[in-house]
Amino acid sequence: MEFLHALMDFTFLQNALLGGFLASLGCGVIGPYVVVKRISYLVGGIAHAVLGGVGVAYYFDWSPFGGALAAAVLAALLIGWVSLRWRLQEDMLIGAFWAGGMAIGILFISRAPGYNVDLMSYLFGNILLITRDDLLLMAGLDAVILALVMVFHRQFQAVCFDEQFARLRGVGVTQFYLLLLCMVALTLVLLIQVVGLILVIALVSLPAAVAGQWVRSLGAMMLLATILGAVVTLFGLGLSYGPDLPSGATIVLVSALAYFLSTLMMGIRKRRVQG
Amino acid sequence: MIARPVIELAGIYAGYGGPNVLQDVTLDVGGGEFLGLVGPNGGGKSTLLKVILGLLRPTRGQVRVLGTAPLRARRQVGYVPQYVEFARDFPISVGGVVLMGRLGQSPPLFGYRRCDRAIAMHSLREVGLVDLCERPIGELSGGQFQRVLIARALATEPEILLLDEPTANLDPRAERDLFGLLKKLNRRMTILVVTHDIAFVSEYVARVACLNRELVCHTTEPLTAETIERLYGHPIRFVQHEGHG
Repeated sequence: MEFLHALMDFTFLQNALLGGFLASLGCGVIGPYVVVKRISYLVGGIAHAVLGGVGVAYYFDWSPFGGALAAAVLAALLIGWVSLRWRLQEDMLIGAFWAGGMAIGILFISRAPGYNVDLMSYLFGNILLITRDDLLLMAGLDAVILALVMVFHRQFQAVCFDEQFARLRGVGVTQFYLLLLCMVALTLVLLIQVVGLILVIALVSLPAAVAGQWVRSLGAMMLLATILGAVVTLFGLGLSYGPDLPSGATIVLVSALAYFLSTLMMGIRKRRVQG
Repeated sequence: MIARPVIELAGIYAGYGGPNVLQDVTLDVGGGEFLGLVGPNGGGKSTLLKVILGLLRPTRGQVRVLGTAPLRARRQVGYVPQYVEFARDFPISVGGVVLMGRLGQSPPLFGYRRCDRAIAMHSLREVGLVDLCERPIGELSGGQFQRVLIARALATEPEILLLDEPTANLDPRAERDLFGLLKKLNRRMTILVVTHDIAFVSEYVARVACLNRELVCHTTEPLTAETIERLYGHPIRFVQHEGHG
């Protein structure tokens, strides 16, 4: 209740909520691909490698947002390429990028002139600091993601379902896989402001995973995951506001609870159907 | 009597960097033929399919499919992979899978055209699953899913149909139905089916080729116990076929 009153009064809360919704749209559309292609570990690698770009951007006094965007796309292409090329060592390679990227970020940030960086807000997000400009940028990224999915959904679906058959049908599997990872990278940048790069993987995969338990098409999964993401953001933000808890962590915890609850309900329903 | 060959393999050697999986394989498949390719696991059957599909370049030898390079003939070749390898929890309907067969033909941007949908429905009707169009693939039996993959291959409007172990894990009845369907399709397209299920295949196909790294035998007459013994290196009972996959 207190949260709802505050929401009426304070622009920063309205911005936060709107930012959360915009992020939910991006990860609601991209998350289902990540879940059905089973690449959440790879996506985690991209997310953490982003810190490298942020650190470098700070050191040279560039825009950290630009650094994050460039690093995310670069990491997506690199990790995607090595995972296609050396499939058997994929696991180790992702781990190396994951840790290596973070290490680069920490080193550059420690040497950054003035050291006035709020490292914590990149690691754990700061949804309450979202500005109107941020919102415009987020809406722009959403638009790019949505447009690409509308145009190429069939190819993405085919690459996720059966790479070999897609290749035989003349679909450029490598190109579309890398394009998909670049879109994942955009989504991650969207979300970093909300929950931070450490927790970002939760918001990409958990709402989509919950949706996947209840509906049976990628399109329906996208719709449901977007709604779930928005609901989770609203609840998390509301819960964290009163006791002044970190909002990103609260949002992630709510989505993890939603996932466990959904899995539990699914199990009960299955047992009832069988019994 | 063999019509104009649609698949021509001459002295093929192929492998994955290590020892050759295929050695000096020469085989012609005539237009309209129904050929069974049998042999032990690891004998190179799937590798041979990859060579025909242009997914694997042979280290030596000549491949021609429909008189041209495999990569160029791809669009006319329908491929049915081993269905056991699929993640059946993928959120997609039967109709959605079959429509994927239209990907090469349909324009690359946005959705499928009305004629793509019509062709997909027609393919589903051919395999007898038109009622299951909206059904999620997770709710199908193994035999039904196998038919969905065949319908997907038919939706590509192929001249040649390649099937990799279509009867693995199927019960004998589903197996019989499947070969019945292939026999029907054979009236208008060439079919090459890879299987380790010798007893079944010899009942249906016109010709059997046996592959164990080399093409051991290549007969037009029905398979005999003697050739099987030569292929597997030890006598096996004809009637007894276990589903080792």
